[in-house]
Amino acid sequence: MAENRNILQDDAILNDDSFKAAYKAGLDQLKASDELIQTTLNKCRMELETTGKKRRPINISLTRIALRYAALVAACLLVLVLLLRTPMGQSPKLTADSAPARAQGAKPMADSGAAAAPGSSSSLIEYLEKSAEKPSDRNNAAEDDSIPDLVRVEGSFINTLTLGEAGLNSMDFSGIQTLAGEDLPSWAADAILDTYNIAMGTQYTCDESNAIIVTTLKTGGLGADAIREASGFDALLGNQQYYLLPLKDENGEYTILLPVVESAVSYDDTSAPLDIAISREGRTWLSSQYSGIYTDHSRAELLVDREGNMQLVRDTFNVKQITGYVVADINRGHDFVIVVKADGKEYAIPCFDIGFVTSVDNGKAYPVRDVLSSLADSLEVK
Amino acid sequence: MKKEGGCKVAPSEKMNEITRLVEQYGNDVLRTAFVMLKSRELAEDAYQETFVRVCRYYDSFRGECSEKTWITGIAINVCRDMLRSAWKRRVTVTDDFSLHTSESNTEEIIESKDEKEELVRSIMKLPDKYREMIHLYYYQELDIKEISRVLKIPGGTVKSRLFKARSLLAEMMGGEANG
Repeated sequence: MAENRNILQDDAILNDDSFKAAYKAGLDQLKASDELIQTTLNKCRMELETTGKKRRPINISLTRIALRYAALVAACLLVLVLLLRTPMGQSPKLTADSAPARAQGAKPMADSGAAAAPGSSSSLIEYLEKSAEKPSDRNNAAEDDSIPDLVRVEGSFINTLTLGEAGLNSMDFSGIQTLAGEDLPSWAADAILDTYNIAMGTQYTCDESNAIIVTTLKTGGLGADAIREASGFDALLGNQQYYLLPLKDENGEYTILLPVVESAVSYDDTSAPLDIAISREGRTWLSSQYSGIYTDHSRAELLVDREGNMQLVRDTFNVKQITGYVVADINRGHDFVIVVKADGKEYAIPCFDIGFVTSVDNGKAYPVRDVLSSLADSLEVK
Repeated sequence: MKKEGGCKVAPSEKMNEITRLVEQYGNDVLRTAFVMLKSRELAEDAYQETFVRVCRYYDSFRGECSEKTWITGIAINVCRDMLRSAWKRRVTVTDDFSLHTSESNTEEIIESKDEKEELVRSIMKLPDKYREMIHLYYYQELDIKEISRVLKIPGGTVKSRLFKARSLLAEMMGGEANG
């Protein structure tokens, strides 16, 4: 060790070769036992067996989606042919709600000169989509606020290591009595940030005014069917909320999203369920040095930019009045959907980790059904 | 794992490849997980989960990086998921590295064990993000670009963290020397 100390102290630069050798030798004592190797190989064998049966690679999934919609496309073509044979005055307008975002990510409706009227019942595509669905499903979705009592994901995600198994789930706070987010006082944000920095040896900074209020999905998770059938996110969201503190590194780049919850119960330091507990003025805030979520700067910027996101929806869909704004956690703090309610409709802006869903783009506004369908498609493994 | 464009491989051949990967990279995965999680038990769980994910995503590996970088990236993600899932149960961290040593060490290793263990123990005391940096650079011998890819952070951040990690480690070792 004396040698290492010298190495470390000389010009404060590590001698790479000596250091590597010592470090490697230190860890070399740790080896996988035969039993561990065997157990792992057995699990791998089982995974390979079930992979073929249960999971489908994305290219197969896309093929199935294509097949699923092939009938719809064929029907469209047929109807178009029929329409071309009918007098022009009787042609229905092609102003589907879902068209703009699909076509180009987010083309403003106003550009087409045909803003969608509420309901857009005259839309040919919408009409065909509706007629392709089971009538009962559509009716139930419209009438029942609680929407299907959603498909429960097998087991709890808390102790599983695989994300996005067969459904969506949020960060789970069911073990803690939390309060819905109203405000995150600056003293709480500062105290949590200081504690986190000390624990992690970091010097992150945070503007607490950029704290993001995140709403979770219904407890237990959501399956593909429930997501596909939902009329909007209202039906999918649960009643828990938490904050994400976007932390910037020394270069001023967002690097970490730190979840914070307000506890409904007061704790002293030793009894708190998490390792960061800040109590003052009768309120208790909880977080953890283990809970930081690595993020890239642009994704965090998108989450933080509330005004920009609302403006995006205004610009894209030519809406007048925005009545709601929710950031929904759909994958345990890794993936989010920004839901904007405007003029009686819901619009969604995906904010996914790379590769989570490929059919919609991050940072573009879509009618909410487009995003829900994309999520359902990506989850459909059965 | 020499395959192009994620082409399909027969299941038996795939299992042979997985077995090779477990044999070739298994100990590295276990050690990486141990450094990240500071617990042999959790590291073994991470080891298993890493190779299960390797099976799961085997077809999607297109050779854009080395096998080692790919598997290390999966292992790091597994460990991070475990740390997050451990959020609620406040993982008890062990500082007793000697608990994790094999009993089949040679005399030579036993003689120099203290020094090396002390170095490992010091590294284990570093904050998470510096510890993983030291491990990826010095143990896995990944270069800045590969670390940037594995951790999904810019190369500049890798360099600054590595510098900070070295400084912290030097500080810690100096502190021990004086203490």
